[in-house]
Amino acid sequence: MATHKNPIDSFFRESLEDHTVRPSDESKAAFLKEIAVSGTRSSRRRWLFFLPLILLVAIGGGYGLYSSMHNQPAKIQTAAESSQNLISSVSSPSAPTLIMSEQQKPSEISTQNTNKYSKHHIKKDNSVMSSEAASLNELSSGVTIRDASQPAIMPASPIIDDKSEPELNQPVPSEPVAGENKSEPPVNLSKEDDKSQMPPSTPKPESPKQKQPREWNFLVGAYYQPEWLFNTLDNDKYVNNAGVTGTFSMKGFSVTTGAGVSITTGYNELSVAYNDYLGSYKSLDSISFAWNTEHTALLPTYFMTNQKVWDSLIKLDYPKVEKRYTYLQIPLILGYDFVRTDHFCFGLRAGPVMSILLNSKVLSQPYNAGENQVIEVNNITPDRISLNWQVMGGVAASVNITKNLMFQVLPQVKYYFNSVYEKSDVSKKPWSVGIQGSFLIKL
Amino acid sequence: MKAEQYDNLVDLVLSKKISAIEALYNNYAPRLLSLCLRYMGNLEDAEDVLHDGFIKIIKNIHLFRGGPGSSLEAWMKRIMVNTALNAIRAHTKDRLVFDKDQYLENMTIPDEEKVEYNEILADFGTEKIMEMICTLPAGYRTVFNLYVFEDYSHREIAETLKCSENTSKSQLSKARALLRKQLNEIVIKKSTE
Repeated sequence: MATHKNPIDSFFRESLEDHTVRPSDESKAAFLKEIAVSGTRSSRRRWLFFLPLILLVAIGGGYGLYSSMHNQPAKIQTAAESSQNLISSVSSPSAPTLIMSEQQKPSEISTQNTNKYSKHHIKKDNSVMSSEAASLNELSSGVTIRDASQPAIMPASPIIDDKSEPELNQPVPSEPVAGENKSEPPVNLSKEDDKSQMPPSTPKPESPKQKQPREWNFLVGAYYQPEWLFNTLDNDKYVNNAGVTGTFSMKGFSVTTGAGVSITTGYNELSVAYNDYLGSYKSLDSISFAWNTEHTALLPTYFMTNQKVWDSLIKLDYPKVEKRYTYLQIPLILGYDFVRTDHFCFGLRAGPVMSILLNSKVLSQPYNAGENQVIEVNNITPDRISLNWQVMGGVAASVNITKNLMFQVLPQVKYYFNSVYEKSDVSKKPWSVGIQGSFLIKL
Repeated sequence: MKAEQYDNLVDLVLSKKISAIEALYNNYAPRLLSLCLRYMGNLEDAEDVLHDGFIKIIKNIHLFRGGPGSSLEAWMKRIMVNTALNAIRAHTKDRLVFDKDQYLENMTIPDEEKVEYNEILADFGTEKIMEMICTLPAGYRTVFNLYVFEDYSHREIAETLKCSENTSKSQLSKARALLRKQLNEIVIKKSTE
């Protein structure tokens, strides 16, 4: 703390103690405007930060809603389609064996039903079969034939009179029952019968075992991650990260590694001690004389060199050099998904990330002292460390776009251990927030 | 402004209320602009520094720890001084220049007299006094400001300006000599009137 015994110091200090200068209205307006703009910018940034999450939720929700709507009404649509087809094709059912109920118009008859019906009768009586099959063929000649693999839908109320045709309304197994096949040998139809038959609905051979979903997965993907770094030499810093990953997951647990590139810019501050350039003069090195006999005189020849002159006073300069730094990043991320559905996964991720400095490129003009004489150049900003570690933690939400393609969002926080960005005068370590968006392919 | 009042003001500024920021500006900007003017030497640059400094203040006000013994004004002044020093450094040919000895070449430095300027120049306007400081070369002005107004020691000045303590001492001495010369001229002029 300085003491002020000097009258000059006291005079100025006391005189200007309460001195004020009113700032101009323009200056005040400019300040308030900038504050308002920066406030809006920060809130906009906050929205941008949450935008991918909102998008993810919207996409996931939309996809879930779409798939749930697509699965259930599909049956309704099939029934409606078939009834439409039948109504259009069966204008006047003339077959004597098919008596339509009075209350209900024919709405649904599938070819599968007719086939079952005909088969059932074939087993009992060939003659009955032939006449009934013929009538059914007549009925179904204009009917759009549904694929046998499509499920046959039974109407809620009987379409065909139970009394006349009790078998028709019985629930029809979609696939042949093994027991039935054993007890009742398959009926060999004659060529005529074959011709009169509907296009055969070939029952699908039942696979001996249902295919079990694989318990483990291997995923490869590519990611991009914007990152905002705080508590650094250059105050807040924006970092771009991109790379490829490989993930092995099993029963909800996962291990991710890969390789990525992290690119950021920063300033390197120098302290340059120099002497000012004052000018130059011509210094006389030597003179030679030659005797001129004609004029009877000595003619001098001057040999001179240009000499620069610098001030003896040392001055300091603090130039800043902008550089771009490129790091190779190798993560080792462990994760657990505690919510797993067919379309959506949600879990935690954490692990270390190693960064290796690959390249640094000077973006601005390098410091040029001009004619000044540089005495000393010191780095004020510590140079970048070639290897440093971070630890990250975050939550991952992924949605299945197709069977094998996933989109994952991973908002995360990173803590830098021996950071290149660390402030020398602050003990706190830098930290960052970022959001990683990645597309993953199941192999 | 009382401590509780500015505690409330800080809370309001923290909540980014424009009215609170404006109140903070109205309350402190005149004093801080005077400080900036002392360092920069002209009003235009001073207003630029005030603008940048106030932006830093608003951005970093969460770092200010209020309470007994801590003064918001002192904290703001420190930010302004640092901003002003950075601005002086950033000026291409007007860095912390320590070689304006031509000012002293033809000047006889008067002896250290115990002149009570306060009594003689009681009615002398503060604007004129400020003008005297503004006319000092940047190097002298910076050292004089840091030593006299910010109570820095020569060691602290040397660390801040990255120069030697002797340089700081000589700069202060030369600044005083220049100011004393100007003051003496005014005193003589006044006595002859």
